[in-house]
Amino acid sequence: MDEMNWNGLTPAEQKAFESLSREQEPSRLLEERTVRALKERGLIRPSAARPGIVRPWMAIAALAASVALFASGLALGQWMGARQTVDALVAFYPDRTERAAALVQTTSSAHTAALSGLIEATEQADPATVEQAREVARAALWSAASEVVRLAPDDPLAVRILQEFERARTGQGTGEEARSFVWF
Amino acid sequence: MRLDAQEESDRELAEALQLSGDEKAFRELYRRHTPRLYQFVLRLLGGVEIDAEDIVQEAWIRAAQRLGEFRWESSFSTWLTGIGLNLCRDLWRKRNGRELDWEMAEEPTASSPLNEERVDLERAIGLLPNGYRAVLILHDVEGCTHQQIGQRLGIAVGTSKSQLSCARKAMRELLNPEGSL
Repeated sequence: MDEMNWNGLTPAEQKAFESLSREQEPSRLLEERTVRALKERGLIRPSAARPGIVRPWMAIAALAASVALFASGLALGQWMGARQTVDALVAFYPDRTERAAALVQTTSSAHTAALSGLIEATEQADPATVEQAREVARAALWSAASEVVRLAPDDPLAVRILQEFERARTGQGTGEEARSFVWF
Repeated sequence: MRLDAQEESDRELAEALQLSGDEKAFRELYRRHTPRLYQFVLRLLGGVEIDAEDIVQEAWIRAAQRLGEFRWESSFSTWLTGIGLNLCRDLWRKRNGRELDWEMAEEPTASSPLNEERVDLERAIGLLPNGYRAVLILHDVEGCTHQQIGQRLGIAVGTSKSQLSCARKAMRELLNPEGSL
């Protein structure tokens, strides 16, 4: 047993402190949330790789494409919502569930890419159109979270998302200080 | 003062952020320094991830706003974690309705381990009262001297020493409730 005194650390304690991690990666969402917060305060501007050469017609086209992709994703989500998720995926690929999982990954990537396009397009678009697109994006998020909960009922993040939607729908506060979540 | 390559690079990125609001520069700085800031803040807050993420976001906002005031006499990382530390203190003050009383001995939180079970070091640190935890982390994890702790927390060197002694005692009681190591 290491000799212990109340003022200095024993070698074993020192070793234990030294073994503590000095770095930990936070959620990937935090970076996007922080970037957005800085943009809102005018502290950073969009990356120089995308200078302001987006013309109005390009913004409108990008927005329209994003909305169309959201709408199709929403329709697919609603159709899938009418059935058990696993059943629906197996219906796509009865013998190859791994292909169904790959499909989920592919469509999720497309969804994320569409959102990125939407974010860029919103800077020059009509606010009403942007709000409409946000509504579609929220609906898609809700659908996706619902499906994840059906697939894994104990998934804490998806459950939390649905709870927040429910609170927003019923107009209840969280009782905590408002937090600036931005979901991508 | 000689800056190493990392610090020079930090400075270039910070200047790009400050002068032109360069998003790429910010993301590079963020990815370089956030893991350390997040771990530091998370530990200070006793492992509450949601609070730690809020503090990290606010720390970056404040850092971006105050880059012009930073003299580069310390490393960017040290400056950033200092901002994180101050934000944690603000949070404690807000939650407690008062400043931490550095002179008062405190008991570990009510969620101490049941049935005198052994807890690991990380969890024991998380169970310490805020003041003890702050001094213990700064001294025993981050390697700060009592003088540096005094400057960062606005307390006397003697207070830092007594807080550390109490913190270690409380930590040992959490780790070894029956007195055996």
